[in-house]
Amino acid sequence: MGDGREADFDEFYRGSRRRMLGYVYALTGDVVEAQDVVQEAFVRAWQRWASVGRYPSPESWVRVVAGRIAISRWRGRRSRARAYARHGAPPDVDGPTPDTVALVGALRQLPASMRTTLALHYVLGLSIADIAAETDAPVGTVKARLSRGRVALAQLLADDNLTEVRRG
Amino acid sequence: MADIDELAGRLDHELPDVRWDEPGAIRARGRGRTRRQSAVLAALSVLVITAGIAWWAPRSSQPTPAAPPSPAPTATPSTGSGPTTAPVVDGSTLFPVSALLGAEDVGTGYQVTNQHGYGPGTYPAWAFGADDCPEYDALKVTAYKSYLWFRHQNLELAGAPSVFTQGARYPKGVAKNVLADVDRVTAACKRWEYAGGEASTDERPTVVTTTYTVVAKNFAGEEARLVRKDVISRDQDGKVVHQGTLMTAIVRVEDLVGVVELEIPEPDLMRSFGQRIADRMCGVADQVC
Repeated sequence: MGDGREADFDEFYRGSRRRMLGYVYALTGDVVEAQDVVQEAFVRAWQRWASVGRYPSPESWVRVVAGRIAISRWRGRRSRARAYARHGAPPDVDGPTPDTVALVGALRQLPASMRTTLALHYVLGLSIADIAAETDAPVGTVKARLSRGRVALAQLLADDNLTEVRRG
Repeated sequence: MADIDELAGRLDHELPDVRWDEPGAIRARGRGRTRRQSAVLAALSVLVITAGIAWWAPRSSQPTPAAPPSPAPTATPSTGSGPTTAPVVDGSTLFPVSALLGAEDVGTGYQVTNQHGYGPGTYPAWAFGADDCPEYDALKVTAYKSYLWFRHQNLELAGAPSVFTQGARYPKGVAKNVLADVDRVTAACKRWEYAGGEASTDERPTVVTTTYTVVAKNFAGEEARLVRKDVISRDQDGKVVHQGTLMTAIVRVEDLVGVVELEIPEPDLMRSFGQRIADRMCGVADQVC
């Protein structure tokens, strides 16, 4: 493996990881777990870097892999235990605000395909056409997932607010 | 109320700066998986067996254990021994680093990484959490949460299997319940399935089967379990498209519980690790083992 290829990968990793963290956090709702998923996706990218590095958008490949890992239940709570073992507790700084936590919590209640579509669009700013290509879904399906997802989120957040009001 | 249109900006501003692994470490992890593990494992096993002979020497020949720690939490300021923001107990004596499996127990060249201590209520996970098992919630597993001090560290060597170890001290009598919970989880969640999983795609949907198998009991300390967890993804034709194994040894010595995990099926090695961590915990237990 040549130094140039390593340098390419390192630059790609440094440049993309933070963006990927936001995306995966939106899927998992846990910063440490999101970090673990992102790093795992980059590990897999490096294992296939000979081909992934030549793709027009290696980040798209990593995104798909990270999304699949994040959505997966195969790792279950064990993955959280492993993530904490690998990375320790989150840094002692203010994390996401309660509003953001509530929003991501509501996202996590949506079906995986809808959640991924919303995260790709609203966190990473991908176009409907790009999401369609990345998720291998027709454009109409992507539009429907976005539309229905927004409605479902609004309902979930409204319910959440109502609960808070009832609690006083 | 937050709006999803604001989510990108919120995450950009609110997510903390995490401690990313260096690119070289990411590449090393990738490279390590592509190597054959058997040679490394063989070397590692030889070392453990060799070291184990010395370890099996009669306890009476061992140095006197460290002074027993205070069994009860004491209200002190933060110890600063971990990333926890406000621990109220002194973890250095409740569950010291010396009670965990160490790099020298595992193999030449292994290094300790990600060593952290946690005050009560600050570590959110445990080794037998199985919330994707349909029966898990009904078990209402809670004993593991009541630790007085929790600690973990990883033992890693590039290209070799990583060993994960953790341990905790519990209030009097609770550690037994932690082991009992392991039995309840492994019995209730002996086998479960769900559609989907990491290897599943729209074109090739998979079904994931997870099993817990208790491989051995009471091989170390006062109580011990060696549990194998297998996760297998199969496609509609029954072809295995993804699989993984996790071996977990959990050992109790008085109010201390130690755990060792390895992601390869090596029961003999895991028994050795379980015995090793039991001996280490004996060194800091309230009574001499």
